[in-house]
Amino acid sequence: MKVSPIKPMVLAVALFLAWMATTGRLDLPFLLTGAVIVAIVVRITWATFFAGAHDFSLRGKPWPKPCIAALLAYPLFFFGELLYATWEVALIALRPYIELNPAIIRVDSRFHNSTALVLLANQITLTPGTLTIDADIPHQGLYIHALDLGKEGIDGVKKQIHKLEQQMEELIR
Amino acid sequence: MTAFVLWGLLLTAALGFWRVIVGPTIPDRIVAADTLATILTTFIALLAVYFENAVFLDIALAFAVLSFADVLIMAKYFEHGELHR
Amino acid sequence: MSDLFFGLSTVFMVAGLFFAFASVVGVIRFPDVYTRLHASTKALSGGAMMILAGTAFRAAAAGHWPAMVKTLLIAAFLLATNPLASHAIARACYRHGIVPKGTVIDEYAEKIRGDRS
Repeated sequence: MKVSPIKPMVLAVALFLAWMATTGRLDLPFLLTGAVIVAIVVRITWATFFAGAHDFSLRGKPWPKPCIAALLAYPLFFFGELLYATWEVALIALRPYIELNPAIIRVDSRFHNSTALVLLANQITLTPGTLTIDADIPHQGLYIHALDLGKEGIDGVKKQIHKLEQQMEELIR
Repeated sequence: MTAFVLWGLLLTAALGFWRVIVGPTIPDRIVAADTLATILTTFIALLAVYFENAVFLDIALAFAVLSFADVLIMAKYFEHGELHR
Repeated sequence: MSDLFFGLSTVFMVAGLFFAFASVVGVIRFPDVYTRLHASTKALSGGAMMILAGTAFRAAAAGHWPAMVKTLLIAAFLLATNPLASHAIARACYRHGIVPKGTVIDEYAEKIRGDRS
């Protein structure tokens, strides 16, 4: 199988940036050591972990155009959701009486790409009231544990997740 | 002020240790251990502020990586009762 | 400027301590494994983010930039791995056969039964 040389290069650059962040020194010997270690790590781990792991193929498709405004707005949205989730769970935990209506729901996603599906699952776990248990990747289904169903029931949770999906789709259009 | 937060985190971790000891089932203990690992990661990062020494940040990073691998292995082992699958 | 960072970092640290405490209380008080995971993952991610943000602000106030970058790296790592660990635990629990207490609806049980038969 012929591997395009771009993908290992992306991994190498990411690892090198991580090296620079962890050592925190920009002298020449440190950078050279980092380059050698990155080369060894990429050489060893590529065939085992990464070669077939990403189905994010760009061949024959136009490059996805990232929307700059959405990219800038997304971290704000993300941290807002995270803070809200933290606040809500903390309030529930400190209530004198805990009454919960947990449920496990299957939600069908529109994403065909498994990388995007995993990112969505992570995002769902960090939003208020929901936690991903399992992903059914061939059928694009996510099994979600909801902490408290509330008044709106299943439809409320589904609506919330479809909103998240839309938010993620706006990133790459 | 940093000392206050450090003591608070230590007491919180001690409180969480209750669930590790009592926890009726094994996954309860795994969840509590995961909680303790995250709290202790932030605790070590705060030690860097308290002692004004950046070495503790490296320790915190290594501890975060190791605790993540730890929890994954425990969950995998618990699922199958053996590791090779 | 550095006074502002100092004050911000104190506020963030105390708020993070509060959320860490709340999440541990949740882990102790919630009825079963899955709800405990909610407390452990969400509340603790927020609390740890806040404490690490406080550390980063303190490092910035001292003018120690590599330490700040490293703290942000730890924060990003925790943010990426905490949900993954909780998925692994929840999935392992369910497949092992631990039934969630008091669920109103359980659509996952049908799938597991379908897989086994």
